[in-house]
Amino acid sequence: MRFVKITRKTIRMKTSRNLAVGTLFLFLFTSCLNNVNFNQIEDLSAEQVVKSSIVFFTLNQFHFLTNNVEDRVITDVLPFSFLDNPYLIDNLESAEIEFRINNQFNRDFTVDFEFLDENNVATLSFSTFNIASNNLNFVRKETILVSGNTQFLTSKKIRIIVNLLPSLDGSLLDPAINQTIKIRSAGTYYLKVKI
Amino acid sequence: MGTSLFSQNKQVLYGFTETPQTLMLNPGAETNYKYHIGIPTLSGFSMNLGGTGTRISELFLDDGINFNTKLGNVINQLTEKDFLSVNFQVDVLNGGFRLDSKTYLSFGFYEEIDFIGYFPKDIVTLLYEGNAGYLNTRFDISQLKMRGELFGVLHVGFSRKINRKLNIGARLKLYSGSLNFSTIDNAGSFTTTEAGENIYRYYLNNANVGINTSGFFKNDLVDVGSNGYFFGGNMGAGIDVGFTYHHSSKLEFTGSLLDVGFINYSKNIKNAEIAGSYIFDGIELQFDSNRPRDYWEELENDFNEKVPREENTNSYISWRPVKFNAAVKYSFGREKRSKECYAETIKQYYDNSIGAQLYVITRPLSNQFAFTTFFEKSFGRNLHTKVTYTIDDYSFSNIGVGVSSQIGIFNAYGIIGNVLKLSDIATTNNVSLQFGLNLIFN
Repeated sequence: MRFVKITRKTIRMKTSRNLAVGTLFLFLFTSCLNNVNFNQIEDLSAEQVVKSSIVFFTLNQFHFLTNNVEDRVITDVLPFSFLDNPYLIDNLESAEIEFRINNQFNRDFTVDFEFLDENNVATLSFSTFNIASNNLNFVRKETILVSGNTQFLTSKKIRIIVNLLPSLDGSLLDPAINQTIKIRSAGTYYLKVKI
Repeated sequence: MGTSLFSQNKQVLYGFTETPQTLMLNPGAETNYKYHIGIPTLSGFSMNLGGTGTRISELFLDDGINFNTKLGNVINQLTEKDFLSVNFQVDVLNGGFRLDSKTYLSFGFYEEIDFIGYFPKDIVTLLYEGNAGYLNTRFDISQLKMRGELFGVLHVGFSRKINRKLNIGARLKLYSGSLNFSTIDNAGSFTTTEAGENIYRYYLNNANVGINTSGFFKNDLVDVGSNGYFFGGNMGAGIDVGFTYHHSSKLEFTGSLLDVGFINYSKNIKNAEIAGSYIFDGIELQFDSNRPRDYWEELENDFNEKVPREENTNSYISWRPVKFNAAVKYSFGREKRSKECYAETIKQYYDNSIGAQLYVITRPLSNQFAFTTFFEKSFGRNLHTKVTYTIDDYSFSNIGVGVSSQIGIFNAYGIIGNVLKLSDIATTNNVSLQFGLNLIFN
């Protein structure tokens, strides 16, 4: 049997050593993430509001004249496929479309915007825009509820119909007189992204 | 065997009790043993998760506040200078032996994961909130700075006593990169204004965004790890240098420069770049019934022409972040001589030391600095302690504690950083924790 002489010094050394090691492991095993709940990440969602221009065009008197004869209704179609995007289908709640029209003609116009599906069947149309002659600041806003609107989500194109109304006094367009109607449009898109 | 969780700035371990690990922080550190052996894969393990600008608690504290409200607050308070860094090292092999009375040779192989990503505040804000509330605000694309890599390091170094005052050392490192991605030098901005031909105008101004990758794709298909995880084959080289200088028996200066080197990535490369400027006012309708237009295709073609995208497989260089350490240490108290008899390594030891350290690491946005003051205290020959106070990017109140004890050939040490926050690490920006066991033979 081996005897060890225990002195006050060795006791003090062992005590301080044990204290140091004990403190170390106390810190190691008591460190924790107090009162933290990582499940909150399930509530994560982002509410995006995105503004973007859509279409614009400027028409002059020549757009409504064919061989100097008034051809009052003109049409264009803008195909689009962004509603095929799963991100938008899942997250786009609504869209507000703003139109600003500057009519320098001394004639009234009507303008129609129609959303069409692949078979040219209307999925959504706004009531006709009636633009008075020389109205330089026509503004209109239309809201489309997109979320759950399955009919609208089948839209593949927009048809724009611009109709120059006959003058009240029977006068016709003069090719020599420059007149324009400028139509601008932009959307504000409200998305709620659940992650 | 050892396990550690600490900052890349190993301020407690630096210059602490001549353990083999100090040689990895200063190849010119002094050693006082014949040889050491690390247990394969267990001789060293380190991890650092650090972030500036916010803390876990600010997002995840169970305080009844809506999570999205808290996330919005965090995004608002973070700046593009805030970053998240991750560093992870596993020692596969570590050993060393004394060549002669003056020279100690050490060698090993370790795997390292290193990531740093700055908070691209403008891009995150744009994605999180949209542009509606930020008309005429310039979103800066150059804030996107991110780099990550996985690589192995084969190293051999020496620490040599030049005279009674000076000890120098160097370590040669051969890097073998497995995975790398890097998107650093981006430029450009995106702005939405109420101007132009339509109601809103998008400006993409001088955009130049690129990313280099190696080991994530193979033959154009996603194949993460296509270079393998050990000895990835993308070769590089680097060097560590360092010194210890005794101005007197009590006053010591040390310094080191680590990872001055690079990796040339050439295997399974896929790089992408997009550059250019673009203005978008919406689509201008033509009402030309004689010539129906595919407006979207025209828009796409126009964008691709003005903002071309390019992919290539060109090799590229990834520079290692260089680390710089410097320290001054003043020892005092009870004096004792080295217990070993290596003719050139006999020196005086004292019970107490105080000093200061500076640590700098090169980073993509700006170099990071840490300033540390410390106090070392020895209890007898075999028990040593060190307390540090560090000011760095993470906090102004980082107090670290280290304990090292020698029992026979076993050297046990434990190191804790940021002890004031350790009982609730959710409220801190980083935590340092390290402990281990060395086999040291005299």
